[in-house]
Amino acid sequence: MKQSMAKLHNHLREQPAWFVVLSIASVSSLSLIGGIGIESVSEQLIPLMPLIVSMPSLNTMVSDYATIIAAHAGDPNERPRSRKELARAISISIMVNISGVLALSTLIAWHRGYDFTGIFLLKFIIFTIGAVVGSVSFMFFLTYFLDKVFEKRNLNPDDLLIPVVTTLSDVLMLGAVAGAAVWLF
Amino acid sequence: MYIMILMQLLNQKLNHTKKHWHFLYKHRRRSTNASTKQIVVGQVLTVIISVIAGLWLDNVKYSLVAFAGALILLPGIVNLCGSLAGALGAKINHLIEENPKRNTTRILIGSTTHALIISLLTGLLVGIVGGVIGELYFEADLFMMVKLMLLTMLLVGVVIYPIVAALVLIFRGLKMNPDNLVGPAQSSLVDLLSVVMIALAIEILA
Repeated sequence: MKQSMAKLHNHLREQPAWFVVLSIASVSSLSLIGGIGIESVSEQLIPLMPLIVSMPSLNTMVSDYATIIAAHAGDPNERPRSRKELARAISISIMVNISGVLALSTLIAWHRGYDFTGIFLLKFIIFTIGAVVGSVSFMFFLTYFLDKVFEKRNLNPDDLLIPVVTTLSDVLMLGAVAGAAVWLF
Repeated sequence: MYIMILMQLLNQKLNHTKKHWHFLYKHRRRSTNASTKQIVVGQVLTVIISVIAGLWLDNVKYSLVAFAGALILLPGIVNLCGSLAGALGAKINHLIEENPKRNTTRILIGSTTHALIISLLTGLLVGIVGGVIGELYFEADLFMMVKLMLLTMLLVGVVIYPIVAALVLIFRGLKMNPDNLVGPAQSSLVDLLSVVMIALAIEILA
């Protein structure tokens, strides 16, 4: 095991620097798509203080869950057995997360003088729950689908799944925030 | 007599199987509980630090909007710094593991410098991509966006990489696996630092 890990590390070190720079930059450039969405709706987004306060945590949360889901799917021994256990573990964690984000961002916005209306609060709660649950469910199905595709094509999911799903989760969440700023609030 | 021996053997086997399934059941329950606990603890920490990042974002939102294209670059900065800091943590941990006789200070300085150089090179490429998009669609200045990207990457890197290196050493000292713990800690710190540093970089460039 240690020998194979050492081999893997040696192999990783042998990658030329330009390849490392180019691949990291390409994946990160994809996440600029989410930034384009935010920049396009900045005028509408700025007055929505609770949404701005919660934006980084929503983004990080979905990205973290995408990594956790992809990491579990990538382990061939764990795949069939742990899917249900993972869904159960994540659903408990998501409830804690959503409650925390909603409570903290509402409290901070209220403390900073944001004028809450009943309808805004309702929309904010529905958006937060819908966006997180929707994105994580989508990540589950996407990971399951990509895992099958990679398996059929004899590609190692460990190499591809995490970068693909984390970048997609970034774009998805920032897209949801931009869409909500225009159409929901 | 033979029947008695056979019954005893069967009983032993059954007891062994029962113990095995009991052990398996308990182990699975424990592992599920542990992963739930670990995920929840990691996520609570992430939520608290990320909400502080959101609070800071709300503080600096007007300067971010005033600098055309800054909001395009922000997810790129978070993504880049997050992946590079994660890779740095894993690299330092594995280098120390593989070469216990090698000087730890040299490993730390070498890996951190390497990460900083890579982050500037990747930042340059992502800055150019973002700058071209900004110039074409948002009336932003390509060179200002590249400068903003490079300066922010430098500022975030100078702070976050030594923190990641220190966290690896601290977790190793506490006999904990840094591969499992550095990730959640650094991802939320990167969120916070990216927002703080991009605002600082805008002020420096203005």
